[in-house]
Amino acid sequence: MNKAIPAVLTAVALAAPGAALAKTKPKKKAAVVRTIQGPSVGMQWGNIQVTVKVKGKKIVAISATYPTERPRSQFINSQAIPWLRQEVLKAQSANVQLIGGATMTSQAYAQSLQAALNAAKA
Amino acid sequence: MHRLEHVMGMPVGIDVREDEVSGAAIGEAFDWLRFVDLTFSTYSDASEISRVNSGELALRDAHPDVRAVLEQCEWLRERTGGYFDVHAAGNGLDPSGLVKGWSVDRAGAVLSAYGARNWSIYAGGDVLVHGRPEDEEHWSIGIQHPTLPHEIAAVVQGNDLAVATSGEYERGQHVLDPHTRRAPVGVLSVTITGPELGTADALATAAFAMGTDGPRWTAQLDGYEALTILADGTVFSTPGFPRG
Repeated sequence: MNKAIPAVLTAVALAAPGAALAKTKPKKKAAVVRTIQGPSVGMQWGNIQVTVKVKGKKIVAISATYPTERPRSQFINSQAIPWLRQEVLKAQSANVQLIGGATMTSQAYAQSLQAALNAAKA
Repeated sequence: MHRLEHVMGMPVGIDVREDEVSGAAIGEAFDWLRFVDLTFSTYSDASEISRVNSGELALRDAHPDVRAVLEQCEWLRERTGGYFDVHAAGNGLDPSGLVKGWSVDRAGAVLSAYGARNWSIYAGGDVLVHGRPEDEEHWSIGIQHPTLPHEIAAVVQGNDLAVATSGEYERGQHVLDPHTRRAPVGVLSVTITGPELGTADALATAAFAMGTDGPRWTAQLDGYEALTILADGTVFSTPGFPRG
């Protein structure tokens, strides 16, 4: 219903939201794989802790521990974590330092990951 | 150095790239945020804002920051045609919608005062950046897609930029249209970029509450740019929106 606005606004279809993320930066260095654990970060269903394996500057693996005490948590997180892992890998390929507008779950995840990545650089 | 703390009910991450100043700068920035939490928390009866609401503390006797925030809230209420309204919740004043971003702006000023030039602050889905990371020309911030958690809807870039997003998915909060007291229809998320996070956050809240009228309104904002994602998948962005 706002289709009349494009004189001032740019409207684009969101058909392929991942398409803009194709600019992968290949940064290959022969290096040992290091394992870095992020801090345990609280969110509404419990704590998330992300572990990254880094080879040089490249993330080669991401895993996360997340709450499983309550059935609801287990359901939510078994759904959420695979998506989030993909999200982070895409963010890396897009060369993004931060993710805005995230849900509570992915905030906690992103924070733990962010800390792990910073530790990896140090 | 990067430090993460839980403050103001959300995870806040501060990343300062100058190691020689980062420890002290980040420490003082978190001290400031904890002070803000104590002063403005509507969950604590002892906070100044709660004491103003209960009538125990006269506004003229409140901390100058409390008065400054409430004045800015009033200015934003006018600027948004009442769509950003600290009275909307119905239980006295709740300036939380401005306080979060405003306090992050001030935390950023603390980092700069310590001589930090390249830093970022992440606060509950909102972002304030300054300078740039090493090896990059800008900070790049991915905006999470509102319905596809594994996708990024857009990337914004900047050297001195606030990025605030309002949407249904944000912290489980429900933004209501203060005029109708109902959730807006037809809009998934609004991201506002600009110089100040407090203002950007309030403008995002207002534009989201406007529903499908939001994009038109954001087109005339001075100094702030917007990206609105509607429920039908259409994305509207203002001409100056800093897409990466």
